[in-house]
Amino acid sequence: MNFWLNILADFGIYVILALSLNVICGLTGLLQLGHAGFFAVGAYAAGLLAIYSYPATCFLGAGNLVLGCLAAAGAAAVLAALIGLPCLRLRGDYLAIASLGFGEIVRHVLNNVEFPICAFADRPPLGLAKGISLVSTVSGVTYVANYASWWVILIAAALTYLLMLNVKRSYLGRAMMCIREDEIAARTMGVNVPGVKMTAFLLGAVVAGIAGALFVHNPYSGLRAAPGTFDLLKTVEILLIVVLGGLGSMTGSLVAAALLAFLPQLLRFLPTVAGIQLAQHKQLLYALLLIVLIRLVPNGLLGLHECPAALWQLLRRRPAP
Amino acid sequence: MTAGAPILAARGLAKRFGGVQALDEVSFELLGRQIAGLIGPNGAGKTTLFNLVTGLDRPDAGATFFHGQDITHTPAHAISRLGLARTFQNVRLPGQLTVLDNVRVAFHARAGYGFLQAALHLGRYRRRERQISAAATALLEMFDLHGLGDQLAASLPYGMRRNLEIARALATGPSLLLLDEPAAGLNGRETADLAALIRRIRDEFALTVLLIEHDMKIVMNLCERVLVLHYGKLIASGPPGQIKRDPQVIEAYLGPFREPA
Ligand SMILES: Nc1ncnc2c1ncn2[C@@H]1O[C@H](COP(=O)(O)OP(=O)(O)O)[C@@H](O)[C@H]1O
Ligand SMILES: [Mg+2]
Repeated sequence: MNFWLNILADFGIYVILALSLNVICGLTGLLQLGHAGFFAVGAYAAGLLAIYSYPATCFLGAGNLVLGCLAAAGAAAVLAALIGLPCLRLRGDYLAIASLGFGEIVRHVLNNVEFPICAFADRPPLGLAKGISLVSTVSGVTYVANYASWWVILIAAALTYLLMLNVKRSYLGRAMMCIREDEIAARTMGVNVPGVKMTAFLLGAVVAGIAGALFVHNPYSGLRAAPGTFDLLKTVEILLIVVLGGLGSMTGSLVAAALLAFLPQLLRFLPTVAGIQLAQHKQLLYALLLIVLIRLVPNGLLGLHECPAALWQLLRRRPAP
Repeated sequence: MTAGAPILAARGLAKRFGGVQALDEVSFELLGRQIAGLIGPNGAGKTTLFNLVTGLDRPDAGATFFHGQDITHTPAHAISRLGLARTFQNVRLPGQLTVLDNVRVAFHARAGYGFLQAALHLGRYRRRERQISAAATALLEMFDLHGLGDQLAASLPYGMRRNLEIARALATGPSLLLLDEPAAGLNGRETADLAALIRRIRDEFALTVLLIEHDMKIVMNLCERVLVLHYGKLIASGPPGQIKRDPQVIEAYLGPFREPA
């Protein structure tokens, strides 16, 4: 049971991360290769806040999670602004390079920083490669209660989905998609291109930061965050979900996140066929499945749409008065 | 604004690309509710003039004024919001957006709701989106594109994409519309329809229109004023009847069409 709840929580985090990256890469067409960096910044901001504010903010209860999310969002926003302001006015893939660098810098910094604990002599040192933990290893005290349980994360994922759909269907979403296709057309339509790019970049970073806060407050992940979790591979995983679901399709990201979260687990239950234990080769099968999927649907499962074309046709044909 | 004040004024615009002086000391004024034509051989600098006026490119010298306001250094999106719209010689439509979305993008600056209202799906967002969709649909109808709102823009035939681009320009709520060779690639019938449409647009939307056109028949019939560019220089401007008889224009451009004396 715990195992599946863990997978569900994981799935929720992936959904939030993929949706947030989809606004940047899918809707607006900006290549962002440091998404794990914002995830990490959010996790550390929320985690450190919980640790250092203990026990002063215990009385807030679940409010601690809200505070953590706010801290994560704020930290991610500040860093996104620092990267975005110089890069988003330039043409080309400066953002890709800068964000890639940002992601790696974040990981290296976290790997080498020991957080100051002088004011908290009774607490163990934090940071470096082993990361931070909301559970003190010395006294065994949990600094905050485990408020981000699996269902909180799933609700957050659902809200993020609705938020991104609303944004996509607003004047902002249309401007983002127009920028992705043709910046000059967007400019002559009155779209402030650097401004809208910045909005997309900030929105994506802030939501990824909040995903970090939920991650570190999630009891199934062990209430910890370590630099190793937030490497380039994480960014690639998220990007894979976005591309597989369809660049610009929020529903696609949802479906692809489900696929990538549950498929590897389901493959463990494969039967033995002709003397071969298929379950033992799940990594191989998983990779094969991904290759086949991308070959079958090069534009992603849903392309830019929220509804598969076939289903859309069906829905449209029905109300014929 | 007084009745006689120019909508658009250019003063000494100059632009050089490497060794090519694309525009050289170009000055002119456009009055309200006029349909004006900009003619000149290929490479005369007509598109460059549009790019400078709409802020997509910057002049080396000179200034442009829109409703008396200096817009020489105003960003393109801000110029669009002031009410100056354009189409492109090579139709620029985001092909992966639907026809309806292409028009709705143009309501960007006048959306009338903010990010939070959209994010939280508040009443104002829903109401304004309904109004924007209705206005966009009405524009599509005017351009014979009704019923095609759900199609991707890329799937439309060329003539319809042209019309869609004009519809989208109108959706920005302009007082001046610049059309870059709107009749290029159209057959005789379509060209006549387009001329009627441009007149109708001018009347219904109370616009000033400046169009680049090669077909002298349309220019002479449709335009109340004609500007002639030749190697970056404005060599003549005036009513079509006068342009037809201008010796410089005949020499430079109309030569083959010269009427027997
Ligand atoms: N971006 C550019 N870079 C270099 N040369 C250009 C550029 N745009 C236009 N030109 C040159 O400027 C001249 C005028 O071009 P253009 O304004 O497109 O002419 P027209 O629209 O009248 O046919 C041409 O000689 C063209 O080659
Ligand atoms: Mg041209």
